[in-house]
Amino acid sequence: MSNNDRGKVSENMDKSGMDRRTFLKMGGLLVAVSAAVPVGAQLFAPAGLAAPRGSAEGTSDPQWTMVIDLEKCDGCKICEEACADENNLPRYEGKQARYDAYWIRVAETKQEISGVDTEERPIPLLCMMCDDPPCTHVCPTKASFIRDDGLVLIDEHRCIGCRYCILACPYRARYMVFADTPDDQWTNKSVPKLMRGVASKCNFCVHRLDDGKLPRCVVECPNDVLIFGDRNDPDSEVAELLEPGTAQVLRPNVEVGPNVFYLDL
Amino acid sequence: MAKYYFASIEGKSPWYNFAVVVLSLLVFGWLVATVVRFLEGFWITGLNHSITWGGSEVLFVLFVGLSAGSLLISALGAIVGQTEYKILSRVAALNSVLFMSAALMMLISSWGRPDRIFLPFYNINPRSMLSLNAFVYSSYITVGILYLWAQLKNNDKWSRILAITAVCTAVFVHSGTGFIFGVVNARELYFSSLTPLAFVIAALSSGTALAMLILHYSFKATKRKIDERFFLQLSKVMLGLIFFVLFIVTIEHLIHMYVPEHFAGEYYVMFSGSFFTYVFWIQLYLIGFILPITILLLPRTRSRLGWILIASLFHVIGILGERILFILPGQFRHIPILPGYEFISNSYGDGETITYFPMVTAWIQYIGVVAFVALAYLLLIKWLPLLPQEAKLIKPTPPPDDLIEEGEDVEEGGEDETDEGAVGAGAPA
Repeated sequence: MSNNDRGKVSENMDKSGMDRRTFLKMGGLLVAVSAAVPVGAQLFAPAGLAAPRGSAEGTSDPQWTMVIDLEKCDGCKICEEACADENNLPRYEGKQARYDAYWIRVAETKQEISGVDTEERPIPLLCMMCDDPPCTHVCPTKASFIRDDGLVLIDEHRCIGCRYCILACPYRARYMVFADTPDDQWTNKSVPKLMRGVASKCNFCVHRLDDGKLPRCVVECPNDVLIFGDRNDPDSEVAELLEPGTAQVLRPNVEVGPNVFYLDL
Repeated sequence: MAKYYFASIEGKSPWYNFAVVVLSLLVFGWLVATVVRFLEGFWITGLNHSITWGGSEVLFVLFVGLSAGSLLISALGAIVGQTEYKILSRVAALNSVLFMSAALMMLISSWGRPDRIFLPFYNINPRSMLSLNAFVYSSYITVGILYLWAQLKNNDKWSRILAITAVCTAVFVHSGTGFIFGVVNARELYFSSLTPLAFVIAALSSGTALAMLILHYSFKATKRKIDERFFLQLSKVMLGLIFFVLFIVTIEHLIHMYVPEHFAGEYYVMFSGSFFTYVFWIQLYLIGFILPITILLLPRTRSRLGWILIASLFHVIGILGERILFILPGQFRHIPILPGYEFISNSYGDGETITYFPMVTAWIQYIGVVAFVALAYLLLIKWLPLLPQEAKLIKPTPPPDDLIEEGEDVEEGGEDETDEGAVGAGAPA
């Protein structure tokens, strides 16, 4: 075999076999893939599976929870007004009224009973403070985020106003802010006015919670429909109400882990 | 030996100047409308609490899609080895970049806070498709510009590398755009794993259709010659793509009909007699699929340029309908928050019939973005040698030294191509 032929043979071997460079490339790829799999799993795992927050073993973080006892609700809508007053939600007049924001709203509904009779039922709706909220998953700037105590909040200075979260929310709990709150409706000076062009929603009156107070709607409700507390505290009223397991969540099929429960739904 | 000559247009005719002035005014209108919309807030857009993504988003996805076809034509030469398509590569690459830029203009000007445009780049949410798309879209435009630049420099090696890079990025761009909507499991009509695939294929088919229209009228308006066989070949590619889109869209709707959760939504779109029923059957199926397929199959019409262009226009209109169905009905349908209950009245419009029509500000924005594409195209084909003097469908024998040669600066008197509005006008037998 001449030198020339040998050269050809080794060239062929390089092509068919695996030289060092290919080996390193493949190895690198393998390492990258095996690193990506657990990261991806962590990223997409539902909150309950990834890292149970405030589990029964007794972490210090509370799990703020609201239980709504529909049997007591008479649809007075005092909660809506209290919320607007507390959080400077604008109330426009005339045609503009369709741009009003309602962080808590009382839906007037009717339900068929035994096929013939209907019963009118007011049902308060608000942000469900999900464990696995789609709004935070889709937010392109992390303006929607979950705080350690389970509150789903919006950093309105980071929101770009793309409205993706509003679309992704299974409960229609998010609102576009159509315009800045007018100065004459800035009722609560300890809370900023609504900023135009961003998303907004109920935050369980986070400013009051941090001061050790209950949300304003809970305080103002004349019929004690809204019951609020820390579910991780076994002595709390919400823990007791949830104990029998009869409380229901809305749209359980979307499996986002709501922290607002309904009694007598 | 065939050589390519590219030449910028002269751009001195009164029509050209008139078009530039009018289009500039319209683009300025877009700027003003965007600033006003930002300062005043969403209430001047026509959006409401139920419809939060409207016309801007429809046009955004349409434009993203339209950029695909141009890139396909542009990259045919570099990737598939269809070297005769190299002659169209520059102008097609330009269109691809322009449409993507227009899409981003539309998207960003629809935000409530366009002043925070750079926030997505440093507050990255790896689970959000929109967050990742900020990088995908900007790399696509960057690669597109570099690709165009490599072609202008006659750098074959880099043109090829960048063409392949651009096509790979495009796959992410188009499927990523489909993902934005497909992952919304809160809404029955959005949630689908077929959306990204449907988006990619519809992008290619409608993009190819529009690219053919633009190429034809650019050559015609500047009195340059282009071989009709380019259009015959491309129309066959388009026909295949249209069949593919028809297939995916049909099975997606059929599968939804079988899912109890989705049935009501599908019924609303397909049979309820709502606005969307007309969009679905007339705009999408009749104008978008059946007519173009018939035209491109019938022996009488399939080889005639005029008919091919008409089929292209029909398909673009049809895909606009598909994009409307993509964005809007999912929001018009009520979310079943309280199954078993019927809403009587509500402060938030839960039980109301939803209406949506874009307000004047929004229309100025839409028109302004379309005007931007036309204006940038007119100016760039004047400033840069992008259009070939003549496009023939012969495989050029590789010349010994340089494959592509820069042409003289001046060709025939440049004219604007936008005055050729009617497609039928350009129908030679």
